Amino acid sequence: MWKIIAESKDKRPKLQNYKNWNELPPIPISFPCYGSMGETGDWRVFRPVIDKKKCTKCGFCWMYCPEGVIQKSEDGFFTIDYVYCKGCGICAKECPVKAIEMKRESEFE
Amino acid sequence: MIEKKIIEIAFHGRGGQTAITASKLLAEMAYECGFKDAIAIPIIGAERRGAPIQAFSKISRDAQIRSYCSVTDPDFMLIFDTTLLKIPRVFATIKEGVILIINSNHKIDFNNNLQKSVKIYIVDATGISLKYGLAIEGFPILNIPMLGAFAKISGFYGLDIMEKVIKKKFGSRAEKNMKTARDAFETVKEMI
Amino acid sequence: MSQKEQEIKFISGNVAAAYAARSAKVQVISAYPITPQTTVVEKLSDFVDSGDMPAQYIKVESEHSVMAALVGASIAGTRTFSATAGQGLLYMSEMVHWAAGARLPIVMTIASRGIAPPWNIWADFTDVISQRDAGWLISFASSHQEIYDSVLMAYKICENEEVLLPMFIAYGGFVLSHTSKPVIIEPDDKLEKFLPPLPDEKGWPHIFIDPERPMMHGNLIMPSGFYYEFRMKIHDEMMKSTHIIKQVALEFEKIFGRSYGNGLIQEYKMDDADVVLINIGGLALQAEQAVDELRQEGYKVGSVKLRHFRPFPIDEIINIAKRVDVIGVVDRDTAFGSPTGGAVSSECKSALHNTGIDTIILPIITGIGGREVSVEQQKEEFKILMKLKETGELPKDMIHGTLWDGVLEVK
Repeated sequence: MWKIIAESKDKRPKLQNYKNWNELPPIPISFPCYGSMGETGDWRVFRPVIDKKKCTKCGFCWMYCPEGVIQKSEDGFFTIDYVYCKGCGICAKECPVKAIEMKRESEFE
Repeated sequence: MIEKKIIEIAFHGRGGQTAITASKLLAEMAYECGFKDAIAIPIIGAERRGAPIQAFSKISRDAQIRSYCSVTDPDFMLIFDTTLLKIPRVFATIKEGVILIINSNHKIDFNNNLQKSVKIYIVDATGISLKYGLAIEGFPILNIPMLGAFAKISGFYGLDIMEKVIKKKFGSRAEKNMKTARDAFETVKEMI
Repeated sequence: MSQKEQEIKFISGNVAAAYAARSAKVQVISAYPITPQTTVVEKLSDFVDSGDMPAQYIKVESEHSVMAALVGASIAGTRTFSATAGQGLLYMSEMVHWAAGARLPIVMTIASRGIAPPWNIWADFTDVISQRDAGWLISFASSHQEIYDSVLMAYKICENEEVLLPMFIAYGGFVLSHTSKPVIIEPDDKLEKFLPPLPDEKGWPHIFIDPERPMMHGNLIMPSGFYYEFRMKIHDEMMKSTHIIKQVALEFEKIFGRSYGNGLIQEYKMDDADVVLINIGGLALQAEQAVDELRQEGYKVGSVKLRHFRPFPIDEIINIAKRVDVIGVVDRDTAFGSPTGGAVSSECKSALHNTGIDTIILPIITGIGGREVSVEQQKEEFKILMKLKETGELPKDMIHGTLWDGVLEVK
């Protein structure tokens, strides 16, 4: 079973698919994929919100985001993927013009 | 019985006199000329030039050699330097029936301390090496003339086998080496 | 350079190891010189430098980096080789565990030497025994030819998809590393028939470096993850590798005509033996001479060469115990504080536990730090076993249940 891991991206077994230790590959490995730790957006207690009026499109937030959840959109501004954003606040801290505000999640309920 | 089928040779030299290489060459030459098995056993420590060195060869015409231990009761002893005879543990291995080949240009007086069955041959290996310039930085290399003398005394291998092995090992330097071997082969003589 | 015809070379054990790496078509070598392994490194660099061996030689500054370099090279999908000894192996230890955990079929020869302090460079298997639990297969070679042959067999065992573990081949420093004997170097056509094919561009199936197929290895696994199970798998596959080892030894014999028993152990004159001495390394071969000499004197004795310490040949030891009354197990290593003081004897005793077999095992420790062991001494060991069988009398000068044979006594 484990031998197919080398073959194709689609055929790779997911961790949850291993029923017991016998089925495991010889070593633990992981392949790059979207959100391997699950939807981490629900870890967030403060949400970063970008104020387009202040934003200078410098890209610092995009560069500093440790989880790669900030993307550049067509208009040159940046958007945050709240499904995976953990709310760490690094983007708000690094923004040179203070265009990102950390707002309490409860405000959005 | 099994032990007897194996011929054991002990080499005693000083660091730099190439006794260890001699033990390896002897075993290889014996194997080359039809002996079934041979082993060269150097005793290696933290020796430097001048320190007493021991090495052994075991050769056998028909039995496999399976022991790695050193030789305590040799059939032949090759003494590369007469000063080594003063070392008690070297002298103690000169037992009954052993054949000694000593590098010396003069007769050695054992003060009747040896048994009558011990045969002693002398060859001036140092003189021969110096004569043909077989030396590293003035320090004569003795293994080839000693093995030339051994070839004569033991009759185990001829100079032709020696030449073959030495050519394989030393390439272009073989000729000078062979000159010393031939000289030693011709000049080794029994000490009476 | 290719080897067209079989050749017999008069070489030392170390040089035989280097020739084996060449014969096995090793692609990447990294090694750091240490007495008494140094001439392996010298010969291999000669081979690579002269173009005799189309391999990469990675020069590094220490043994730790040696294994780190080989782990990388092996992950990239190459056949790798190294050699070390004593302190070098201990310094390498962290990466030694890494190689096994990553399931990389690296082969390494060990010219075993005593561990310092006090400083010692002579035969003593404590160095390789200290890596007992790393997950490497551990084998011992008893002759120059066996060093060469074991390396060839090692690649076939280790690269088997059911094994995928690294292997040590240990032999006594100076006893085998610096003595010289005739060794058969096999020709390419026979080697090709025996050796597994070199890994292709895709590398090993379980681990690889490929920009087309990016993967991550060496991840952190939480206690609730599969770390436990991955460890269990290493043990399981190590135990099952006994079948592969046997199979490979058989195949080796068929192609090259040299027999190594069943691969795990090799018996000598065991058919009607009353007592047996189990040895590792060079002493096992020398014990065969002791057996022959004693048999001429009328003693019914036999000898067993333990070729593999990992996986431990449990079934074979039980099988021997069923046939004889007394077994002497000789360790040329120390396992301080263990039940017998020696690693092999402790495991032999453990193998017989709960089997209902009441064969006596006499643990013997000998030759530590290169202390010479003569054929005469081995014959005496056999005689002690005979006496034990006949009278049930244990030797008087045992220490903590073990006979330390060959201890100096100043008279």
